[in-house]
Amino acid sequence: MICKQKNLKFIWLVMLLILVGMFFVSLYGGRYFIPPGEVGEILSAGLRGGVPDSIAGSVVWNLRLPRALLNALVGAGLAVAGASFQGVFKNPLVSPDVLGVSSGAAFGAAFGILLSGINQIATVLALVFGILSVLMTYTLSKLRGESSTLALVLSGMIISAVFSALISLIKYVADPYDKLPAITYWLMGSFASASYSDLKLVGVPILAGIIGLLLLRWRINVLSLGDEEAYSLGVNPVRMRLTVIAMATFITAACVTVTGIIGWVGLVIPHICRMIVGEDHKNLLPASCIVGAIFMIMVDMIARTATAAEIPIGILTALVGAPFFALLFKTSKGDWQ
Amino acid sequence: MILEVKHGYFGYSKGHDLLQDICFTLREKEIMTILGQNGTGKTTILKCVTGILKWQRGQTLINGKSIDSSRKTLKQIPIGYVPQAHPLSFPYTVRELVTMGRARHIGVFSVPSGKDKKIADQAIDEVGIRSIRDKLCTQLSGGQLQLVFIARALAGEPRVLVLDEPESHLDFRNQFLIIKLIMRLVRERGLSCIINTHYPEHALRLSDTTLLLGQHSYMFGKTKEIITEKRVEEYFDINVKILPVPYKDEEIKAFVVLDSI
Amino acid sequence: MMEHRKKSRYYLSLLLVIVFVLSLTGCQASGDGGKPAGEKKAETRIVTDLVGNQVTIKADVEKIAVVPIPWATIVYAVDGSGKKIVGLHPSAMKAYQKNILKVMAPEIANANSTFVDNNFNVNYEEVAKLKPDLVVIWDYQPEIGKKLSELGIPSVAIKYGTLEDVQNGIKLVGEILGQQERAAALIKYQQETNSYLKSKESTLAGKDKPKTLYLRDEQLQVATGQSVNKIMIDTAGGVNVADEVTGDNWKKVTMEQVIAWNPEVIILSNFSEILPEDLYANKFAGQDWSKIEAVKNKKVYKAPMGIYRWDAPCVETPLMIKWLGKVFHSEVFTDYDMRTDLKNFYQTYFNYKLTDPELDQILNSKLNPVLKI
Repeated sequence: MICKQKNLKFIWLVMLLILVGMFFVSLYGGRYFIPPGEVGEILSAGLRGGVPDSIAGSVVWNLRLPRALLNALVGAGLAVAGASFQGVFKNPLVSPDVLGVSSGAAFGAAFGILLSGINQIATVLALVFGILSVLMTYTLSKLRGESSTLALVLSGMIISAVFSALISLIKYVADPYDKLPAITYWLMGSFASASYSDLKLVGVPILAGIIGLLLLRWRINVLSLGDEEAYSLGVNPVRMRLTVIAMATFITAACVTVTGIIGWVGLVIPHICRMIVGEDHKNLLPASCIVGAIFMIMVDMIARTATAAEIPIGILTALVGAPFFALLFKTSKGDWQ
Repeated sequence: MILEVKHGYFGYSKGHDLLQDICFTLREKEIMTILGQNGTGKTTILKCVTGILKWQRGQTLINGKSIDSSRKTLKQIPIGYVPQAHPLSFPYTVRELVTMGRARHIGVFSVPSGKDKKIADQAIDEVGIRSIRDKLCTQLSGGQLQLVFIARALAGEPRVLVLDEPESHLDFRNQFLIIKLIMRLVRERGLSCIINTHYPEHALRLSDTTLLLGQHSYMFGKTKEIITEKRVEEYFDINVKILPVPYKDEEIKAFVVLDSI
Repeated sequence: MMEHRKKSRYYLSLLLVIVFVLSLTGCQASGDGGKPAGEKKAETRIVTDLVGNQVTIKADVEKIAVVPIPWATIVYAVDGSGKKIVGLHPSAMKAYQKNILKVMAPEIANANSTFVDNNFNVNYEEVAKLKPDLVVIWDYQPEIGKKLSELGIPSVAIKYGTLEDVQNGIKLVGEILGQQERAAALIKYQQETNSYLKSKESTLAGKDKPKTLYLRDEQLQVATGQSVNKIMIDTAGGVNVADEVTGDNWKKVTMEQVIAWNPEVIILSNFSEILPEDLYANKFAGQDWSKIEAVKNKKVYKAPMGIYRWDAPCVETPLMIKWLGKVFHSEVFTDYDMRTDLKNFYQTYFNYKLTDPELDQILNSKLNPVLKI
């Protein structure tokens, strides 16, 4: 399955073409029909700075374009964060929220919605609690002396459990007519509110995180061998691992903040990419970015066009992801331990 | 190049030093073996020397200069470490894994250059595993994996090679092949070597100096002087006879266990 | 624990014996046609609830706990007072505190709203403490009914959905409270409204039916083709744009779908704080309302809220439909005076005289200035 150097160039080209193609398909498709020619006109007009003041112009430029951009950004971010986490934790089964960032952010958002409905406050609280939960996980793991990988993962489980319970508590006290549906929808994940202001808010952190991880991508190989071997190869694993975790966490928190919880992407996409480009994180991380973006655009397109009612994307990613993962589990060659 | 360890102390729990006042010197192109029962701290010595663990007291010197085994100077330590063969979490290819031996020469934000790949390929050729270089490490036998780890250490262009029980878990023939390979590397590359082993026979055949590690004491000196019938009984609690077996121009030493079964 | 169980078993058997004895004496009494002198007798009677269960209840129902959210107000409307309501849903309590019912029936403020939680889980010990003569539950909660009957508390199930269900429910509540006449009057009002609307049918047939979106909140949850709101819209001479959406009352849709529908009228529910200005100002991120017909023509209205939210089936549903008629076809409903009708309704059924500011509050007149209702 692993491809030789020459084939790899071809594969990069194909993946990029699919990404660009998928991106444009998502601009052309939707519940509101716009003739393809008009979409092209709107895009070229928009790039020149003058979006036509029509329904079609608004749909393409204000609804579909920011949504597709956010799809790509979040898909790439979650997938690359997942691949990095799997590398530094030496475990192909961990996902980006292993340190509790998702449940922390989810709690923050639910709390914000409970206090004042869906608005910037909820977004900021999501980001704050996402990062806070990871800091708590890290502190907890330090209580045992050294921060071993196992201590980190176990602490992450504890913090996640606490925040999950707090989310349940909020759902329990929330008004079932007013706040509860908002919280429930948020927890299921959605790109419905994608806007340019969302992009402005999280675009920079997610992009910065992705670039940082891509720069460190070969170093993650060394980390994946374990601390002792990293030391023996001349790499300080503790500092490097913290750097990678910090960046991956920041990406995840930023993603969760604007889209709610979208599971399985960070877990499954890296595995698909392993089958395409092999285990080397030098190739795995960029591939995860591209395939993650493709996957998210594709799934969100289903979510917003399949029926008149919007299907929560978290449900779709789980429905697509879980069976695929089962298949992978059966056919995979690696030692999963 | 001379590697020295001066008054090294190390213990995993407070108040109990597993290793006490370890001193030895390794000269250029010398092979040193470390012998001892399980649990005496053989692997710990290797980890302290390579900087994976830190001496709690004492230090390692290279050419008289202390290698502060703090992680900062990790990069400059010209030591290649070969761990015991163990399964990997990720199925990297042999080439990918060997290239990771270049880590200390590659910048934090960089990926291996053409030169790095060439050096890794040379290391692969040197240990004779070219035929399996595109295979996944998870599909290799124990002997092959041991060779991959040696190649990875060589890719780092070390001056000293540290091997942790390289011949354990291997069959009779593979044990011999590994030992032969180590001898050749020392000869051709001018490397020095520290090897942990469970086999006094190998130590006698292979090494110039030996560190014999007991529960509370150790001995260090020329191998021929250290490994005697009396000491083996003292350190391993077993009666042996060392017999010379003449072969061609050499006199090979053979161990015979005398204790009745 | 064992001790407790033994005790409760003891009480249960005692209770059974008493019930047995009472039923015997009851039979005897009806046989004899007279009451044993000097003995207070707990009279019972049997009602049939909306799922067909025969429920034995006290002849004189004094205390009612109501699980379904809108039904506390229906009990109030049928009884003309809230003093028999000892428990209601927390969300109903929240609505109560925000609307005119608080002024009209201050007694409800003391009712318990913790015996049932937001997820419709009943706290049985809390119910036992309330000692209601009867609990009203939804038709899909037979488990709760069973548990309550184990506690010796009868429960009647009502249905959610069509306007007929509401009328049947009103009739049942009337029977329970011994207020058959008031219930009949309320139902008659509903039927009168129906025939009034029927009389407009032929006129409306020739009219364009405005494409209407019934929007619950800023999450873009809309009334589906199976919602009670669809029935309201249809009856009032409009058409629900979200008819193709299936599923229970409210479903979330995409902005693009709303744009594709391009509704001419948008009704905002009282289940959230969403206001017409929010849409006019295009306030919500990721949504673009500016190109929607209803927004361009300033035809976004906030639904009224009387003793309960008019968005859900309740005693005021006929008024809601007539309000929608005014919204859709004011030229057809010229003979209908909303304010007078509303005033009369409150006077007749709640014995309450609405002031003009109160009328404005109910009709959300300030939020709907163009309507001039």
